[in-house]
Amino acid sequence: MVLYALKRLLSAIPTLLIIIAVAFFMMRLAPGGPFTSERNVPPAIEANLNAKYNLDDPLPIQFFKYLGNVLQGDFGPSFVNRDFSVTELVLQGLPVSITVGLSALMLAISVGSILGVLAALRQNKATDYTVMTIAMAGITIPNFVTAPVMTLIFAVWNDWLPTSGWIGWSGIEEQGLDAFFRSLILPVITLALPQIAIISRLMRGSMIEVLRSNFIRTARAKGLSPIKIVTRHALRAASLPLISYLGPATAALLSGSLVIEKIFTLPGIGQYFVTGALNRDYTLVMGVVIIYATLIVVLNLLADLVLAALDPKVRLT
Amino acid sequence: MNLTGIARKAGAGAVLAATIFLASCGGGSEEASSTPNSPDEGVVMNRGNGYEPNTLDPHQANGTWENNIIGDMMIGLYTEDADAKPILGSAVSHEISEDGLTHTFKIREDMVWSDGEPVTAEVFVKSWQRILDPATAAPYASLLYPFKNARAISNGELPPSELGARAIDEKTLELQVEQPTPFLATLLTHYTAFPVPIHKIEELGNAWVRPGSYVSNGPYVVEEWRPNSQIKLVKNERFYDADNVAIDTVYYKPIGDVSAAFRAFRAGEIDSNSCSQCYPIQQVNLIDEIMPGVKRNEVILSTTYLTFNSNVPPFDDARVRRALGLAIDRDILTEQVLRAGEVPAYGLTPPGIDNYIASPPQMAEAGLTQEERLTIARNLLAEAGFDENNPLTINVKYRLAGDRRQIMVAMQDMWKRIGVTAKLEGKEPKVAYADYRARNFDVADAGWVADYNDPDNFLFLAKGDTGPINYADYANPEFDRLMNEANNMQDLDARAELMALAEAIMLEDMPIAPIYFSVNRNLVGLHVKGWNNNVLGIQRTRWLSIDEGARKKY
Repeated sequence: MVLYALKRLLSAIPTLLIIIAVAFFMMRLAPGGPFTSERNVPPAIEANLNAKYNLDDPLPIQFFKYLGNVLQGDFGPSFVNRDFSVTELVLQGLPVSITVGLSALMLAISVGSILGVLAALRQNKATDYTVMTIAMAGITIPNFVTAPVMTLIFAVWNDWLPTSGWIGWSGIEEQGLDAFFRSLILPVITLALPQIAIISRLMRGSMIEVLRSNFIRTARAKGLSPIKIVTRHALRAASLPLISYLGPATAALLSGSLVIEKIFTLPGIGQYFVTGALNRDYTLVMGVVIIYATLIVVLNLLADLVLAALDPKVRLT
Repeated sequence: MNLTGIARKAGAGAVLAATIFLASCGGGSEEASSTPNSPDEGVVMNRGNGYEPNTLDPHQANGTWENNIIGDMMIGLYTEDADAKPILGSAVSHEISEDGLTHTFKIREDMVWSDGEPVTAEVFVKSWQRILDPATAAPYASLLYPFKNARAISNGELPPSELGARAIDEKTLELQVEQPTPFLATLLTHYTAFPVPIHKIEELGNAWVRPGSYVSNGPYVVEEWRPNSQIKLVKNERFYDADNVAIDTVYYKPIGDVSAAFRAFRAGEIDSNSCSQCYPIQQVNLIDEIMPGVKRNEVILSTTYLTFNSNVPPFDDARVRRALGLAIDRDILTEQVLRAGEVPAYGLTPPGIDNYIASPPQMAEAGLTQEERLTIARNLLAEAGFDENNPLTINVKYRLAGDRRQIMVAMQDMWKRIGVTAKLEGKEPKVAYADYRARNFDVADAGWVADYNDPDNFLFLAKGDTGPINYADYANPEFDRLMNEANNMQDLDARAELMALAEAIMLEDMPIAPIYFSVNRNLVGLHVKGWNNNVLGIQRTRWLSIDEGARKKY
């Protein structure tokens, strides 16, 4: 298994290189540059700016220079957030995105699985229909709708939670654990809602299938208690599709969400994908793309390893 | 127990878990203060600030939201008073030579940086040399081009030491300008002219801007900067007027989402929010209803206009440009589409600007009804050869941001009334500006926000030598002559008369069709005292105070 993991990681290197190259050149194909604005920037000053950020080299040379710097761990200065390097911006934003994303993931897995199992056990009954209707709503209502509505209810009409802002791990000492959790609640729930919906549907589907299979019938015939049947036998088999789904889903959750970050003013990295691209902040966009690609590669591998551990039919080659 | 039984049990468990979760969430909500601040911060103000600042280095900045923060920390030779009018700041006196080309300033004897180092005349000289040095690559250095040799230094033709500024003694500064610059005082309030702590820059390089290293000579200094979260400024006790600064701690919060900012204001998490779009326009009635008095729309020095590419026929024909400009019903746009107090614009220079004639020139048709204007427009088009048999079709590029789309669609409808079909093409702002600069457009929507309070800062847009941002490529020798003559005058009134003449000529040619003067949609809590709306949209925190008794929640 270690060998398999190593092989997979090695094969990820060319993938990453291709992603970096494609992202780099696509970024540059977009018209406008980091210093294009409505302000009066005389050509001489624009030339000074381009020289400072090495934008006056031919594109392929810029690419190889960039690649060389990345290999040495230097993601360059941010063109737009001029007082910070890309590494600093990402290191400041990533813990925020991971905290919110991981909390949302745990909430989504626990609530989503429970709802899915419940619906499966009571298939075509009121519980099932209720859960699935809610799940459908959860998938279809986008979070730029749920977030403002929840803020209005819990933060504006009632003074229970803050509308926005980030306390962060470093703010716990000053403002208390209480404030930290309260600032997390709305973003985490909003981020988790669609995931709860998707996970519960996945869980329901696979659970229904598993509950009909022969080994469950055998278990029942042996006289095992129903709780044991679900927790010991069915759950393990039913969660396999969920795990395949969780690889990429986790990468998406951990790398932040523009909508959630904008609405709740969270300093995560999700907004850098969009603001970076709009600002033509080339290095910043490259930095977050590389992080996202790496997360996907690693988490997909992790999902495969977990699958192999859970399902004796899967063989790693 | 069968499977249904399990389901019931599990259901009960889930409800229990959810209850526990919610209970733990609800904990502590009783003593919930909207912004938990520690007591040693003194009087605190939370200011919504639109965007995340790109930098705190005045030489790298180029946004109004950056100016809000930097201007709370640094003080130039001149600074803004509570109404954003220029008053002496770092200088105690300003003498002008007879020919208007040499300015002598006395720096405050007691002025020091927040680390105690003295602010000398030499600091100003070196600061200006730094911003003009091509190696600094300051995006906004061109604002200082009125200084002697500044343009040549920025172009790399002269070394920075050749700048026409020198320290006569420790606290006496002499500045030479290329031509009499009657707006120098207002220019010197701009952040490009701020001093920077040269001793820190020599020690730390560009890292001087980090909290902890940053030193300022003004009312506040940055203590903490969490990107995309908040910037915390604390009072600088060494500031010369520190005794009169009422607010001890300022948080600047970059809440970019209009609706989120509005909710944060409603919940009392920010005391004020000042930017071009600080509340969603759909909420305008709700605001008046539930929180009367907090909406403080201010008309600022900012003009939104259409520009015509005079290199492309038929837009080289002034009759076509005028017809298109006249067909736009500015009252409908401002009253029914924009609705935040925008002012219809019939001239390029906004009302209320300093150093200009009392009522800036307007196009000749400003006083007519829209029906009359439409008749004129139809006639002009007919003269230019466009009618039902040969209808005019135009391509209009616009910046796809904010409520621009609604405005452009409304204009499209208005042009139909003179038989013109407009094809709209919305572009991401960066792409739009790149296209405008490359003259890759026929008709384009653009805007200009003043850098400093002077008509030259608007009228230069139409000068033949302005380059890329004279999008229309307008070049009228008479306009240029009047502008250059005006800029060589010391008498402000005579200068204003000449500039007004020039503007009237330009409006007649209409390379630019002014549409409306913009507003900042400010929200200011009733407990914030000393907030004066002004045309620059600048309210420095040192002039503000908080009246806790008047604080309200909505």
